Amino acid sequence: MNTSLFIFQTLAPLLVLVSIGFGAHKSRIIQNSHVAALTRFTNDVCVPVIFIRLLSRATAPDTSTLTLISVYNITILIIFALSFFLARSFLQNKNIATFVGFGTIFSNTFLLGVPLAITIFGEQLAIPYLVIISIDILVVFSLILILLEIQNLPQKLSLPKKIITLSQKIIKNPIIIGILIGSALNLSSTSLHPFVDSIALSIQHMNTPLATIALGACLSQLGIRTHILLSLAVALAKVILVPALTLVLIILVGNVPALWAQSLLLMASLPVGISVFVFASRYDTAQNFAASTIFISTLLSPFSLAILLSLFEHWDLFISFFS
Amino acid sequence: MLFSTISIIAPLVFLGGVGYLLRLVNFISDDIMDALGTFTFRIALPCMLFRLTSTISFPSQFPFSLILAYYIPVALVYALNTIVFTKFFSRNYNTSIIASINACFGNTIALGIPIALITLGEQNVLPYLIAATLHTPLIIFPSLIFLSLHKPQQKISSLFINLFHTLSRNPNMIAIASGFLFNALPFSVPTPIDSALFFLQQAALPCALITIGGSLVRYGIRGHISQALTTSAVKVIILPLLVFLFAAFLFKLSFFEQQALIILATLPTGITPFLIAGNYNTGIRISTSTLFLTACLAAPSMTLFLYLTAYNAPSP
Repeated sequence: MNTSLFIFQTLAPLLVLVSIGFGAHKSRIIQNSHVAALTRFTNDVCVPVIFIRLLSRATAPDTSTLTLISVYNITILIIFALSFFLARSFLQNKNIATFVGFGTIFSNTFLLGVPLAITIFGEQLAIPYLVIISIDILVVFSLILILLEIQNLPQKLSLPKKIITLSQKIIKNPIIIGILIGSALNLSSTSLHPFVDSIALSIQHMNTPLATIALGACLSQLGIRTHILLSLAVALAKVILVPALTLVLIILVGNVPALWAQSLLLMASLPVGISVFVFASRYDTAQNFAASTIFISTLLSPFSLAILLSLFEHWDLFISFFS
Repeated sequence: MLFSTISIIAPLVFLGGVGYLLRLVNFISDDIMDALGTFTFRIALPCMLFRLTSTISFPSQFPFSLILAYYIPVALVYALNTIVFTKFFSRNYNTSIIASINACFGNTIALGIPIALITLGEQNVLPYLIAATLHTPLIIFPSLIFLSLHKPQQKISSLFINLFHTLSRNPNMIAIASGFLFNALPFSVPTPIDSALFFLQQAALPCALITIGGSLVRYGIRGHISQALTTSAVKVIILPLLVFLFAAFLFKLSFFEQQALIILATLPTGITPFLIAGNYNTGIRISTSTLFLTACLAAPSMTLFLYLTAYNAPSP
């Protein structure tokens, strides 16, 4: 299939769903209160279930690839820290800073990433991609959750009480519970029973439509003009800067199997993930920034993905040039 | 064969149970239920209906035997239940009619269509859609006429104008009508839009099951247990049994037509009878209890009758 047509066909349904949400809010089918409620449901029910499914079936990569993934995760944490502190320094609204950092590093790993990975690499060869996104989600979500919970702690509390309250909040968080269950299943080599897995898959199917419809409704409710420049900057960083840095890392680490390297690069090049909006709604912060950043980065991503797919076509030549 | 039938129905029951439990322990609140209901019934299901009706291939002849095999048993059950309620339970005429609507009117759209899609497959769902589309005109319209006969201050004409007005604003009706209209056009739905509608279609069933499961917490059994049990037994045992006999032996319908009618017959009672009961201020507790009881009893009934159909006429 023609590359640009393929990218268009993968991205377009997402934009159609966002448009349906936008239209539903404009025609008052979806009320303002529904947006928060829908994202809360995806956050508390769908995302934890997805974690259980994903983590329970993840397989471990080899040593060189593990090195690359570790270096990648350290790098995105540095990018997160840079964008977070830059945003805190320059923005009046400090609460947005966490989401600036989150938006810069977190990709649309499921909705766009999985079908793209399966089409580019084939169903069997997409497993490295699934392993990489499992680790990425685990690292990024844990970091963001802890940060958001810290920000939401009452200032008056003493440090020991803050630590106890934080621990209680984190341990009760449905996503953390999902991560723990998924990891426990993985470590004990227990797979989900097919019956339970089919239920989990049904719940997973709810996630994308609910989140995108809520996102569209939020765009209608709050507009994208408020943080348009900031959103554009974060979107550009996500679809250009992060993949460029990832490519540099791949070259520097060297000797990484092509499939793993390409999977990592694909994940890094994807537009901002819908979870950024889900979290923003859950913590009632920066929803309009999150929604507009996702929207803009999705509009920009066909260009970055087209470059990426061209690079994959000439991968051996490219890597041999640097080795 | 029995195992494969159970393997289709059990996850649905389990998902409904998940919704019921999550709402019971207040893990999902009323506002989430409200938002999920809006998403399901006003966006996901209409989009699914549009996708189905805009792509389906129509038969060359109208399937009269399919309609008769379902609606003759419905008429018999309706009459039987009304007689039982007036003579045996000594209930007044309007309450008996409300009970009979409960005994015949299933949750054909929110539950029925996704279940039919899973059980029959997208290519064999047409018999279900045809029979289900006639559900409201052939059950609710006559019932409203019967009810208005005992409410002389209400004119039948104004009743139908109100009904038409309500239906013309119903998202499912709009989706079905626009789907059929689009079906007649010489071009198909563009791929990106179709993919987006497919995402919504995939979400429709779990959303509907969780929403309906959660909403059952609000209903529960609210009295008139023997009457509600009778209505529920008529809905999930006698109606499916008659439909099975008519479809399999009298009209000798095809396998998929039989299965479509069994799904339709065994569905739990829909919300409409409860709304009508509220409107006429009678039979509310029977409707609430029947809604709850049929939701609990529908799964074993559907499993049993789908198994009987498959046993009698093995899948082609």
